Amino acid sequence: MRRAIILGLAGLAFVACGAQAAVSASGMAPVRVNFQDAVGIQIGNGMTLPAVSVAPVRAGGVAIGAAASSTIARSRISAGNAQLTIRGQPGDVVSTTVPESFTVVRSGGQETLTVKTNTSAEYQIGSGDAVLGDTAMSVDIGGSLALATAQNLVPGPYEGMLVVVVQYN
Amino acid sequence: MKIRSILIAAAAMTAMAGAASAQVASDAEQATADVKVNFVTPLAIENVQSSALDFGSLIRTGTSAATIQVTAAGQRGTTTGVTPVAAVPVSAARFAVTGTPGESFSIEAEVEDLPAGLSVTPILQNTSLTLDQSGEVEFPVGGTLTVANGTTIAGAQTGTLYVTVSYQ
Repeated sequence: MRRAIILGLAGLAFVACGAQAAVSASGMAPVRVNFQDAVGIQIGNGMTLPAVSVAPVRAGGVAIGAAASSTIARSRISAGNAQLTIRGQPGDVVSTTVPESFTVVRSGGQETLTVKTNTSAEYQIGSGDAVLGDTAMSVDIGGSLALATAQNLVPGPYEGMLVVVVQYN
Repeated sequence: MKIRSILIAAAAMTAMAGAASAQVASDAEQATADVKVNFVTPLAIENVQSSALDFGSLIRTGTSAATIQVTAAGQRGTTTGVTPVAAVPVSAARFAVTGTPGESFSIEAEVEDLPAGLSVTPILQNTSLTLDQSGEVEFPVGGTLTVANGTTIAGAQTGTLYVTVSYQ
């Protein structure tokens, strides 16, 4: 009788082991994450306008100033466009706004000059959205300065702020 | 011929008597035990609608450590060291289990196959569940993604969430 009980227990153990193999199941799911570079604007260069020296023009023995058309411009420092790098993800749509003009003020004074800006049409600046084809887009912004008449032209360094707004859509 | 038959019959009666005697002797040792067995339907698990544990898009500056959490409810949780891109949704993975109605099972989860420097600790709302009357139940799995300090990583990264359910 003991032998029969032992065999019975062995049989139950066998059943339990057989069931163990079927009591678990496994599934899987993908795990995803995307790391993006920081978006933003990096200033490469500011806009530098050439230094201008205005030669006096004598007329009838009276020294007068000269308008822009009659000045002799000499670049004592290198002139250059403002250069910005717009960073983002490929395919990001950005809208860039550059003012048509901005004002520079004489250092130590209050005299102002107006700088008109110009940009390349390829960036669609001010006219719509641009799609970043790569992770960054370089934008150059040039400027032209309309010198004032002699009465208003005060020598000295002038500085101002060119504000460019980039909106990520 | 007849005498032989009688002898055989007598021998058989003797054998039966002997067997009865042995039966009486063994009654004192007899015991009983219940034998129980519960047959269950094998568990099955599947990913619901190809769901993913998706941490979305993150902006990381530098190489400092970072953590990003997606709750089991599929919401963005505690985030440090990175800036999530709000416009990109996150999600928890979701699994459906079938088996015997009323039976309970345990849940274990782990994430593998991630690139070096990344690890994910799964988040479960429950570590065990009970199958409903239809023998079905669903559960989500969130996670906490950890980016090790000094890890330089960019772009889309993937791994695999493995989930094992077992009858208890």
